[in-house]
Amino acid sequence: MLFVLALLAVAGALVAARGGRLTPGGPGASVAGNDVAQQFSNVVDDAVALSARATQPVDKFAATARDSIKAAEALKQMETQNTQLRLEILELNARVERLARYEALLGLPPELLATGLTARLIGEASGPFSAARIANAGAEVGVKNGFAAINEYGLVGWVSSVGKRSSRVLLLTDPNSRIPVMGETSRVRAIMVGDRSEQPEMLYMSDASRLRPGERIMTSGDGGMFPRGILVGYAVREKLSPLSLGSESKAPGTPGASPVRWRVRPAADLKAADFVRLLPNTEIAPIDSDAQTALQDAAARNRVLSRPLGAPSLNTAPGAPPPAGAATTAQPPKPKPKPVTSAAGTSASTPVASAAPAVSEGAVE
Amino acid sequence: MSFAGASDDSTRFYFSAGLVVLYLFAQLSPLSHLLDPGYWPLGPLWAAYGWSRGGPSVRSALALFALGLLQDTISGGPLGLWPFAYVGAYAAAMAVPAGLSENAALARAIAAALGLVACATLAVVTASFSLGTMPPLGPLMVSLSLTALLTPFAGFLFSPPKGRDLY
Repeated sequence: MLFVLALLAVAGALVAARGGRLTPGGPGASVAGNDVAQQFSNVVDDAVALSARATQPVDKFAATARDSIKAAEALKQMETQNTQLRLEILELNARVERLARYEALLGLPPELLATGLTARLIGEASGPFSAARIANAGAEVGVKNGFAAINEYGLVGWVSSVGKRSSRVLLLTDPNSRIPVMGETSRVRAIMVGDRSEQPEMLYMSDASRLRPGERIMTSGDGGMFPRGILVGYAVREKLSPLSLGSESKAPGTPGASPVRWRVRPAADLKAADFVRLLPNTEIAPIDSDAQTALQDAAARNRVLSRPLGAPSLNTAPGAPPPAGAATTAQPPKPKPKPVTSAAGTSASTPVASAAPAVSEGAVE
Repeated sequence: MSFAGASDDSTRFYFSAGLVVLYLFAQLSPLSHLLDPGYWPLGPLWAAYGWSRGGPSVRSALALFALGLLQDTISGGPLGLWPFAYVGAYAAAMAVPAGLSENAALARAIAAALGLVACATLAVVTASFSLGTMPPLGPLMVSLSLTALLTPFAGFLFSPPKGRDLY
């Protein structure tokens, strides 16, 4: 329809042009031709306007149809994503369950997941030798010393002192800041030390040669100060002149290599940080007395069941006659009372893990 | 308001000390996107310089010590850093050679320079003891430079009444 109207408009324009130029005769004839062309042009304009008004519902319908098609496509895409996410959730749940079983088998004390609370940085507390912010959350809402402060980009700092309604967040760049970090890929461990510059320095590196510029640096969780795996920033290699003072590290195996210093470019913009999440320290759950007793029982059972029938007691020397009733009664030896050790010490001894094969041997028995 | 015309010494003293307190609390405002608080001029150093022109005074030394403690608390820096730095600057600013008292402008410049150097030295020494390593000097240098630049304009707030200054 629009095409027809366009043709009509073109034809009208042509007629108008001819009316003005090709009409033979005097000026009167030319004026008459112009009038006709003008009227024709008006008719065409009206027709175009009318047709535009008439086609509005059609255009709206077409637009609605296009939107519907797009919406249907988006819906289909989201349904696909939803299905994928549900599958991933199922897989993650399975992994979580499997991880819990592995931890139980290994006797690993569970690491509590950090929850934390959100606060806003409302002020500065800096000086030439310090870089800190003031957060509007204090002991009243449960903030404690040592809480990690992160935002959506990464680690910002940690809580160094707590008031009733506010707390001081020491930034990564503060000279008093010491944070155990590691490279995400290389797993190089280091201590990140602030020096009031925009990029804190990495000291005490385990193997600097394995670190690569641009590698993501994360909290290592060593010492339980911070949860493990929080993004801190990106590794930056700084070449030093031979006369430079300070910490230097030379890549081993590269004779003549210039001394370098590794720094971390923080992922979070520390100057623009406003809202932060304050995360509690990584706590290792203590093993209660019941669990300790169960572990000792499991260890004792393992010692008995892993011994073949008729074998000499563990307390007797090889070749010596077995004690009376040892082969028949197979009484489990009284478990030695184990002192309650630290979490690390408990995880080092894995009595439950060694009990697993014993159960199968017990089935044979 | 004319400080030079005020006659009551105590009023002038407490008013100027109050100004420094306000200035220190202003550093808590979230203005780091404009100027990092570590770079702000050292307000108490102006007071140390101005009060030193009135001669030795226990009240001034105690006030500077208290102002330093306040700055330590506010900035979260090593406690004790600024009190010693400001009292040291106050003492150093009074160590202008007696022969220069006739040339007031030169004596004031030397007093300000002595105070600045003493403050910087004591701050760095105390910070290095506290941090266990050489502290970063960049922010302190910027801060001291801004303090020196603004001393001619801000120093008059703390100067003694006319006729009572040493030089």
